[in-house]
Amino acid sequence: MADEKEKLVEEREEKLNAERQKIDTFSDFGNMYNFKKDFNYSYKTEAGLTEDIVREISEKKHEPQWMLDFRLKSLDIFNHMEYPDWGPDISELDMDNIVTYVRPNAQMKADWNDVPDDIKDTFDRLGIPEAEKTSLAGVGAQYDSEVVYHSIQDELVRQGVVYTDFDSALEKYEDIVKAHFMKLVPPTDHKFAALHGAVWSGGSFVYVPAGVDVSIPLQSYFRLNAPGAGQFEHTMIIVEKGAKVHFIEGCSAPKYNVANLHAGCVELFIGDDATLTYSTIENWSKNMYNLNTKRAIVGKNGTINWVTGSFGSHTSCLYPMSILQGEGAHCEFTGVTFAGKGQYLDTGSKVVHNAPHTSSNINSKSISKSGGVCIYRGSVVINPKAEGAKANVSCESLMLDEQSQSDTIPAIVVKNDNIDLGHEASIGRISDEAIFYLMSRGLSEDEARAMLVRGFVEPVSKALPLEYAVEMNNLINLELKGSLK
Amino acid sequence: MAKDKVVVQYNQLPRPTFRWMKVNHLDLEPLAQKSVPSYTPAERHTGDAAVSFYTGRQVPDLGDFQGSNEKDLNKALDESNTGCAVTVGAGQKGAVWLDYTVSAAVPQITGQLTIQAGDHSDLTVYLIFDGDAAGGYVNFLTYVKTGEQAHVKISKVQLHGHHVRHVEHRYADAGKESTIDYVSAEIGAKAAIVYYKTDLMHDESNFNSQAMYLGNDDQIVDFSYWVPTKGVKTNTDIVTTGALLDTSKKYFRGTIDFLRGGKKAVGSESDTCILLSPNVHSISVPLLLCKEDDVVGNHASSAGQIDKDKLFYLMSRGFNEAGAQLIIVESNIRPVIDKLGDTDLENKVLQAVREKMQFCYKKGDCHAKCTQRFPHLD
Repeated sequence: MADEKEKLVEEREEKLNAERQKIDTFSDFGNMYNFKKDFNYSYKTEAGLTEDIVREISEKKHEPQWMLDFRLKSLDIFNHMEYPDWGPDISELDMDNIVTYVRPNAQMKADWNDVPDDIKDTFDRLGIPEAEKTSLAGVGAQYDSEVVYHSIQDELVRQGVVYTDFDSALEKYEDIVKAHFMKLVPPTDHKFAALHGAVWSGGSFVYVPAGVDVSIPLQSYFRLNAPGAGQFEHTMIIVEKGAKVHFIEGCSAPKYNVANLHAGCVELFIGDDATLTYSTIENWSKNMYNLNTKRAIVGKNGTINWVTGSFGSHTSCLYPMSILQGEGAHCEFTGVTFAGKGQYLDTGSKVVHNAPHTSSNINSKSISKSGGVCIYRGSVVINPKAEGAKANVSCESLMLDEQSQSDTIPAIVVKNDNIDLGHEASIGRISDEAIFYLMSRGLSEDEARAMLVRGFVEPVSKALPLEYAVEMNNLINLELKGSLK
Repeated sequence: MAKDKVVVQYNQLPRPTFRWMKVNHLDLEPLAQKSVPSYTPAERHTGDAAVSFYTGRQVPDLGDFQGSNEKDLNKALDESNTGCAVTVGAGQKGAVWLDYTVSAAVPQITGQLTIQAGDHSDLTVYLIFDGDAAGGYVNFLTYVKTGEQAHVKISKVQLHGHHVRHVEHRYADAGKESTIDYVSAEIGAKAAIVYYKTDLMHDESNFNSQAMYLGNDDQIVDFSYWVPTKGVKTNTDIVTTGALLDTSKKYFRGTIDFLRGGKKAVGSESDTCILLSPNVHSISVPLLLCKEDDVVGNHASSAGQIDKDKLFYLMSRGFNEAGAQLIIVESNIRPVIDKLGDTDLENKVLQAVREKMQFCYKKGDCHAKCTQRFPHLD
């Protein structure tokens, strides 16, 4: 009997030590993202946004005339469009102080050994080459405004898969790019889509031919090192009929005292019976305005899976949108947003049902602490043609202290009767009873809270590949450190 | 609505969202507001309630309350053609019936109603809006203030004809441990637009609202709620339920605003809509705004057709499809109707529901079944 008790105590101590160890190692993990490199570049534009700057970017990239015309048209739209009158306050973002194009001291390489040491060191510290070896089928790495490394497994190349930087795609597959570029997110969509159209640079292009199953994920990592700069990468993924792919996007930056801006654009074209999983772990620095636009159009019986973890940024506006265009198209959105001190993260998901028997399932979780603001802003539109559509939305918000804020702002528009729609949301804090229960089993209050928060975001962790789930959990632990009462 | 068309905006969402969805407010064409003769509604009261009619303005300063539409609100405040004050003193109890009828003689009503309930009082106000007239417009402000541990209930039945635009701005300030109950049946009018703001600034104050609607033709029903809660242990419960026929539209905008300091507050809002035609529009924007962690907030909304299994079951018991539909719709809205608290009003609402669903005894063939279930109808 005594042995059994000792064994139980031992087991409990082991668990506690593991918890403590996790908490003790959070600081080291945090440094993993917030390290600065000297600001070296081969070329950069002046701060601000003018026609000359737009022409300069296009010229440096040796772009075709149609792309320059597109940029100029977008600039004109940007200049004439008002800032959104809803959402976070972005009045402190002064475009006159943002450098829109910074070319790093490196050319695009297909071998890590050829990447300059300081940039390579950055990605080494972020674990990208290691991840490439162990769990990825292809990797892209963007540093400031340009992609510095891109690779893809030979086997995928043999199957006709294209995974390359966007500049190369524009050169090699101009007709495909021209047919798709900013067709899903037109520059007229909103002011920052117009800005993107004018100054975009870098990004990834993925093409998966019909029937090809890319079973190991591809990953693009975006690092913004330049202070006061913007990053405007364009990601385009075309998944043909019956094909399948998982794309992972990671983002980070060191923290500076000046505002940085990220206004990327992601356009996803998913064919009939095709499946795309698009996962993002976003950990921009806390001086970043993350005004990103992501949109997918899904064909007959196709599927888009969004898995999103938003942790960084000073201010975020991010609402991945799924247009379910083909009969039986499906969207799954699983997201977690974690806002700490000084952060205003306005995130959510948008779904438009345009065809019969389409379905969507949105599952959003948010956590706010230390005065952070989390907003869930979502929309579901079921149009008249979407007979038999099904939509389900669930959003849960957790507040970890009384300085924080958490709002849910969903909007649902139904325009036909043959649908099935359910929506539910809840806001609250960690239950005292649950903490008491865990403490009665030997955990400290901090440990109990951390465990409950990890349990709260479990649906998102489960949707990620193991390595990324670990990274997300580490980020959560890092955010929790020192914030728990 | 064409871009260059002049529109009036009603029921602005306190926290706007995506513009492309066109849900932040309701746009309608302006309706001319005529100079109207002064008007006194039919009135009766029981118990200790005191009722007086007045001209001019008696509603106190409403702070930043902008109502459904600021211009309309100011008109109701400053140019009303009917004013009514209802009061109950401390510890008193009473009930008041007020019937505002639009007619060819009085096509427009611009009114204000002031309700003041003293500490520990209990007051029920039955508000009936009916009648029809070309160019009909009801622009009505209701102001409610309750003392400590008071209870005020407003049972509203709106049965206007199809020419009337009905706009109500309702502001309430709930006292400590007081309860404000709204029960509303919005059946009539071409456009029924209600904007309810209730301040729960005092501890343990409660706000409950239950509303039912049945839209048909091209009718628009627009409910907006805004409930800021700052008192400790406040309770908010908002329920709307109804059905849409033909090309009707329903908007639900609910905002429970948990302000910092309002600890132990509980708030929930739900919106349920039965869709009875392929051309209806159901729009739902249920907001939870939260600056206080020690609260519980929930919202839920659902929309869909009548459950086919239920329909089949009822039809297998001898009802035709329309009769079975009526029963299911009624079962959905009946809990609200039953809370109106006045049998005559409840019957009026039921009758109106059946007429709308073409099931009144003159039109349908199940009169016998209906009267068996609701013997008081005849």
